[in-house]
Order: sequence, then C-alpha cells, then structure tokens
Amino acid sequence: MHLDMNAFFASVEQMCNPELRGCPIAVVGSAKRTVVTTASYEARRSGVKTGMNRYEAKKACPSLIFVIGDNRKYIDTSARVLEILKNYSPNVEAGSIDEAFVDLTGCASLFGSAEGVARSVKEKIRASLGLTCSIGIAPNKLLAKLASDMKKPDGLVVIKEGDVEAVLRDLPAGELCGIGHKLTAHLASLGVRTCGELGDFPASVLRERFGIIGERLKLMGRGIDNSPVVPIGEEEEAKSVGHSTTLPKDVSDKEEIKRYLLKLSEMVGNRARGHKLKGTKVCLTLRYPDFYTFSRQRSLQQPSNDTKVIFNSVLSILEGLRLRTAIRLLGVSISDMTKDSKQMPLFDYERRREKLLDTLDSINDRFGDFTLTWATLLEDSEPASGVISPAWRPVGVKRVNVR
Amino acid sequence: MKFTIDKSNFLKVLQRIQGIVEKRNTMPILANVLIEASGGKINISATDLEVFIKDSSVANVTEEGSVTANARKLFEIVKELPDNSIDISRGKDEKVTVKAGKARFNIMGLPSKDFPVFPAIDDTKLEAVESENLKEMIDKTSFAVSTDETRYNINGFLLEKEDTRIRMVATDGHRLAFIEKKDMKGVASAEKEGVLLPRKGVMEMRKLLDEKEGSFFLGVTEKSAVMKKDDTIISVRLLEGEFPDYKKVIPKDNDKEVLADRSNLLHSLKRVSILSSDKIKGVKFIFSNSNLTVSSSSPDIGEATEEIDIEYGGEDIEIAFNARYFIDMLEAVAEDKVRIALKDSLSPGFIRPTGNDEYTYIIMPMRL
Repeated sequence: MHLDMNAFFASVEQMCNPELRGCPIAVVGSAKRTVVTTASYEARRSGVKTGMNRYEAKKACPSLIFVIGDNRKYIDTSARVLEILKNYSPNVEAGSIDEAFVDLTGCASLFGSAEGVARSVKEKIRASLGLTCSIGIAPNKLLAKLASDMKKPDGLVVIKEGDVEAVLRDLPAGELCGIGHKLTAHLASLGVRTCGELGDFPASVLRERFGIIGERLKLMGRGIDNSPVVPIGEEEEAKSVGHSTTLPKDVSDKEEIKRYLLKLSEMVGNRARGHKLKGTKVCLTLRYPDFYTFSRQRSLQQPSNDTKVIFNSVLSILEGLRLRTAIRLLGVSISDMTKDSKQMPLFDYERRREKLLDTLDSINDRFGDFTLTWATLLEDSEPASGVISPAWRPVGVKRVNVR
Repeated sequence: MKFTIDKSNFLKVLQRIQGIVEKRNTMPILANVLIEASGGKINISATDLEVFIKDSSVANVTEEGSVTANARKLFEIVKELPDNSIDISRGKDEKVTVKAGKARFNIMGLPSKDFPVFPAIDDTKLEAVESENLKEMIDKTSFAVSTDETRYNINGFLLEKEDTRIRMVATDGHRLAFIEKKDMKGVASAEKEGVLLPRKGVMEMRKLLDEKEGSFFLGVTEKSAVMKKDDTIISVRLLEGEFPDYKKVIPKDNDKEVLADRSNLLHSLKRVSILSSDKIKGVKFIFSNSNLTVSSSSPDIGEATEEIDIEYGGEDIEIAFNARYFIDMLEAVAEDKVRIALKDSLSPGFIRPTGNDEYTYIIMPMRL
C-alpha cells in the first residue's frame, strides 16, 4: 500500500488557518528567490505548479496567497500519519515527508482486506488531522505508487495481480516512479513509449544502453518490483550527506561563493558528525542561471567529517573550474561513507581539533545552528530557504534539522 | 649510440629502477629511463623528481651517446628476450632499437637532454654505514609511516642525531615507532634537528641494502640523502615540513605493566581480528590478574574471543586497539616477550620488546 498526502504542505497550512481554507494558496520557502513547494488544489486549478517562482505563480493565479512554509508543522503531521499507519503493520517505510509505503502482507486475518485497511486509514487521517490522502494498493511498491497517483485528491485505487498487464499496456512509461524526463526521452528514441512496449523490449538492448538498470527497466515495464518495504529506522546506511541552496541572487564573486560553501560545508560536517559518519568523497554542485547544473567530486585520502577538510576540498574543486557565468545554486555533499572508526589520534593537536568540533556541535545543537560559527559567515544575514528536501526521513542522518 | 649487453646484466639494472619510474605520468619523460653509453659501460638513470636512482653495467659500447625509452616496456621486452646478447642502438627520431636474435623492437623515445639532471653527489659527505643496523632501523619503523599523501610531514622517517645517538622515528598519527642506536657509524652527517626522509626513497634504499657483499655509503646534506653501493646511487630529496613533536607523545606515567609472550599475542590477535568489522581491526583487550582476554565482534559476521596468559598483577583495564597496529610491531621484533605499559583506556599504550631499550612503540587506543 502506498499513501500520498494530497497537497501536503498546503493542506496542513489550510488546516491550521481556517481563513486559508478554500482559497488558492502556495507554500513557498523563506528565501527571497524561492519557488512554490506545494500549491493547494484551488491554486492548481488555475495552473499553479510546484517549482514556479513567485512571479510565475502570481501570473497564473492573481488571487494566489503565498504562505511561508513551517517545516516543524509538516514534520509533526508527517510523524502522526506514520503513527496511524503503524497501527496496521510494523513495516511502514517513510518514502518522504508526505508519502509512505506499508507492507500489509499477512495482515488480512487481523484487519480484513487491504482495501478495508485503506478506508480505515483515510478515515483516521481525516478525523484526527483533517487531511486527505490518496492510497494505492497493489502487489508491489512500484504499482502501489502508480495506483495512488491515479486518483488525486482523496483517491483509493486498487491494482489487482490479474489487472497489471491491462493497466500497464498503454500507460506512458514516464508515469512510473523512477522513470524521469531524461529516461523517458531516451526510451522514446528507442521507440519505447508505453510500459507495455518497455516490458516487451529486448533486455539486451536496454542493458547495452542503460547499463545495469536496463534489466530493471524491463521488469518495471512489466510491473515487476521486488524491492522490500524498509521499516523506519532500518534504512540502509546513508550513501551521502549533502546540502544545497539556491542563492538569493546570482553570484559571481568568488569570495561570496566561498562564504556560501563554508556554510554548506559546516552544515554537511555537522550532520555527518552528529551521526558519526565520515565521507571519503567530496562533491561540489553548481547551477548556472540557465539551470545548467553540474557536479565535480574529489577523493580525500582519509575519510573525514571535519568542516575544514570538506571546505578545503570543495575550494580546491572550485579553483580548478572556470565559471562561465554567475552561480544560481551551490551544493556540497560527501559520499562513500564509513562509520567513524573510534580510533583516537596520537597527537595532541589533532585531539584538540576533534574536541573543538565536538564542542562546536554541542553548543549549536543546544542553542541553534550557527550560534557559534566562523567569523566570515557573520556577513551573511540571508536565511537559508528552509525547504525540506525529498530525501528527508523521520529518523537517522537524513533527518535534517529545519527551523 | 650503440652497444651490446648481456641480457642478465641489463635486466638487473632495468629491474632496479622500475620502482622509481613515475606511474601517474604527469611528465611523460619520467616514465622513461635514461641510458648513457660510454667507455665500456652504460649508466641507467630513473627519477620521479623525488627519488633519483642511477646504476651501471658493463657493455660493449661501439658508439657513445644516450637515449631515453619507456622503462616499463623496455624491461618487459628484455625480460622476454630469448637471447643472451642484446643490441641497443639509437634510431631515427629518438627511437630506440632493441635487437636480439631474430627479434627487433623500435621503441619511441624522448630527447635525452630533456631528462632531469641527476643531483650532484659530494663524495666527501659519504661515509661507510653499518648496513645491518640501518636495515633494522628501517624495518622496525617503516610500517608506521603514514601513506596519506596530504600529511606530508609524516610521510616519511625522521632521522635525527643527539650526541652519539642516532634515532629513526615514524608515525601515521595513530601509532609511532621509535628506534635509537648508540655509536652507530656512518650517519655523522645527520642533523641534530633531524631530517625527513620520504618513504618511497627509503624503501628503495632498503632494497639496495639487501645486497650482500660490498660496503654501503650514506650521506645526508641539506636537501637530500644519498646512498651509494658500488655503481648504484640513490639520491632522495628530503621532505619539507615539521615532524610532530614525538617526544611529547611518549608516555611517562604508564604504570600498569604487562609482560606477554610475543608469539602467543601475535597469533591470538591475528585470529581474533578476523572477525572485527570494517577495515579497521578494532579488538578489545581486557587485562586482569595474569590474564588477557582479546575479543572482537561485528554485527554482520559474528564474534571471537581468546584468552592469553600474561604476567600482570594490577587492576583490571579494558581498552581497545586496532589489532593491525599491534600485529605490525609484533612481527617486526624477534624477542620472545614484550612489555606493554598502560595508563588507562584513553591514553596511549607503550610497547617494547624485553631486553631491548633501543626500540619503543606507541599506540593510541580506540574509543570503546
């Protein structure tokens, strides 16, 4: 079963403020150059879409009301939804802040049919939170997600084992979760438009063209997906820790870029340290104003989560680049993660460094991020956009602290 | 340039320089060897700009001159040649021709004038060195040298002199090996403030020290360290940077003294660390009355534990170490027993073979 909260951020805002109910609203970030993260269904009817900037959104819907998102509300509401789901099965996976997978295998004797469970979940969410959701029920995660997407808002769609072929035959391949714009275009160039065609396509060609995911693509076209529902807290070790930010205005001044990079490096370092993880690869992502986005990475000799090491590595990547224009977005991440080894350094100066970072983190954990920070960051008064990333998870290293 | 050379002679000098040739290919000519033929012998040189090595071999030189050619390819070719006599000559456009029997190779070369100049060697600075002592010093410290290239100040050995004592120290930031020899000949030129010898260069010198006959000469100048044996010369550029203050980390108040059988401890650690997780071989040590329990566990594989008889009468200590660090040291010494001195579970441990005060080894523990 897949559950998707309808227009989640917007619905939560409308729930909290009765004056917004029935009005076209758009939830945006707090930064100057923010984009619409969620539009209410009223706004969507006028053509407001996620990713539009304020100007575009207002043009599409002049009566649109902007609401600055309050992540704490969403995290709290998300946790409550997950609690409701846990009443039915221990295997609840948080897909992101507004969606979840529930493995209902073997629950029929306790709660009756999956469809009955879905109705009961919807009712509970409506009664206790005042929100609607769309639920899809199917033999696997891929199809359940597809089913929940089929009817919004407030839908309940069941795809039965025997109906899979009929459902997929003429469905555009891009409707499947995991097949994005680029992949859709690639597939179209091979003459593959529908899931049915994808499922019948020779695996060897797909393998040659797409590498190891080629075979999975074919299976997806047939509606086959064996990925398990991963219960909250049992997710695999994070593969990377990263932060990115759209700058308040395009920046070409290197010193200013460096300041943002230091800030992002500290956010990455702080989070990695908090979870006792170290990364061996450091990656810098840049986006030009025309949305051309690229990343460069560099390996460290030793795994690290020291802000300074991350920052220096990112800087050396930056030094090696010739920037074409100003920069719109910056991102810093570390990957190839290992657990902090617990090996203590022999030399005093290194132990002092560890202690310094520890102290810095504990002060900031207690009094708020960036309470104690680098002097160069003090000039920067622009708050971060504060938009929750799709990779957000309720527990573990993917739980980013948000204001 | 033209000469004829015996295969085994040529192979020996070519093999010697293989370790030096630059593999990353930052400068193409560093992948080449320089061959200079004159007066009945050839000189062969290779360098990565940090280590310079030069060797020579008798050859029947019919035309003097010099060439450079890819060191790896030349070595591979010579190794596979069937004949005992090999003809080398310089062809057109810096090409090098290798002929033996019916086989013929043309290898692309680069102008020999572009080859880096071998540093001048001041023979008056060279002194005969006690090779057995030097070998021992390298062998008991080399495993502790950091291989992290970004930590250039510990990427090599510290060689220093104090009065009549010569010391060699190496560390990777987690453990430190320290050896001291009294009245050792041949290192008079070592500076009091110490010099930093790069790992790669010292390991090349170490290979040379394995040659049995003949005497070895060593000299240290401001910029380089030189080792010479017969016609073979290795010149190593000293590392710049400041070696950490190692004296500060040698513990003075480790009062919990343990005496353990080296071989028992070594083999127990090797067995137990098989089940420690990750690359880092974390092993827990519990020292109690006459008994040491070493154990390891990893959530995915399982756990291992073993008890070892020791001489110890102090209070119980629980401490974790990277077993690799212990194993390296225990394998490098020959004494039957080792003395371990500890303070507490968060302070560095001190290990020394019994009856040998020259050698000291220090390991920082892991957090439990």
